[in-house]
Amino acid sequence: MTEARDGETDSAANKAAAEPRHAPRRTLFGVELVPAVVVLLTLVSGGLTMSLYFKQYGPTQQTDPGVAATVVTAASDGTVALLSYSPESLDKDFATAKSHLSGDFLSYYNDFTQRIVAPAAKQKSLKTTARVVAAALSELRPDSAVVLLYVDQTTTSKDSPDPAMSTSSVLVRMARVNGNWLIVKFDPI
Amino acid sequence: MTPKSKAEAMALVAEAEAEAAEAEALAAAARARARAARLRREALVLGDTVEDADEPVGRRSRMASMPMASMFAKPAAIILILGFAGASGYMVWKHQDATRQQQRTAALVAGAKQGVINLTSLNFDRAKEDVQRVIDSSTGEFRDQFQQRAADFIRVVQESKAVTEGTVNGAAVESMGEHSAKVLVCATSRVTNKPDAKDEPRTWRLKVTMADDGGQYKMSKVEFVP
Repeated sequence: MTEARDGETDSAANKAAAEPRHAPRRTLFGVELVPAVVVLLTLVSGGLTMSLYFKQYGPTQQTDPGVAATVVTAASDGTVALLSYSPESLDKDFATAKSHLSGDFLSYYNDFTQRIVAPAAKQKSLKTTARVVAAALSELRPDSAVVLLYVDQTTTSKDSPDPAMSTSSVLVRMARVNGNWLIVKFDPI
Repeated sequence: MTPKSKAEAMALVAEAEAEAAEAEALAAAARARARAARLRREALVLGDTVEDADEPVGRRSRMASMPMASMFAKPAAIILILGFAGASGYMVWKHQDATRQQQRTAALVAGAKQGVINLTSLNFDRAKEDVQRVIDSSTGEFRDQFQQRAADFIRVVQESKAVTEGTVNGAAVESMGEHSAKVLVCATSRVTNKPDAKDEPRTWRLKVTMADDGGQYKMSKVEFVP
């Protein structure tokens, strides 16, 4: 009974060990080869898979085309928010812009809007609307990115009610903060 | 009964006794044979057990205590190994794909940058060579158009008496197809041979379509984004 079950198990698992009566089990330094090789292979393949997953697959996935599109959209939306405001909704416009910013640039923007933009916008009824005409991803890492944007800005004021169009190119550096891509640097070029 | 018959009777008795003894002996022999067979059988089983005892004790006792585990351990391990191998292969393939894409992006950006630098760096002294360089870094539609107007263009450059130098401020791939891609290139050109020139540096917002031309990316369309 025991013998029969033993034979079945062996033949199911490995034919080399299926006929212990006829061929002696292969051993090396007293260790059975087949189970030892199976255990070793399991450990090696498992280790390889883990290391590939954490060292390669994770970072690769974090920079895939889907992420690239998300980053470009976030940079465009942030830039439009940053460069669009009108005197009657300044506080709301600045709050919207701030939600797209992070780090030193957020503090700089806070200071700059309070001291310069807000008084000027109110005094001169400055109204400006930005539009991104082209956007491309220049660099993408798991936690940071650089996006090149072509921006058109239309400005009207009390002094010049006719819309004045200005064009610019901007390199926007983005950082991933708590899963959101935020602007940390804004360099017109 | 006659003496003869008495003697006969004695003989019969002896015969019967002999027969009985024979029968007894046969029975005993049968019993002995049966016992021998039993012993042989036991001896065989014993022999097997002794032979099996040569195998590692640990394996045997594990098998006895966990018959299910031992039955599935090896197939499960093999499935696991195959699974790991498959997952590893998939991840390596994905990584190679991403690496190829990165290399392609780098080649596209480098090609577009060089093309735009050629286009914005022109020396009146060697206008012909500079224009030829632009033609060499172009392909398709743009190359044809530029070639047609090359003579006029060379004359304009020569008459300007200017040396311009182009620099790229930023370049990035906007979209990528199988054989072509659109690259944004923001460039500035400066006149370098007239220090007092009133010509301000000019900044260009360009959208350059790059196409594969014999394994090299060249400009097939140059659009100005006003």
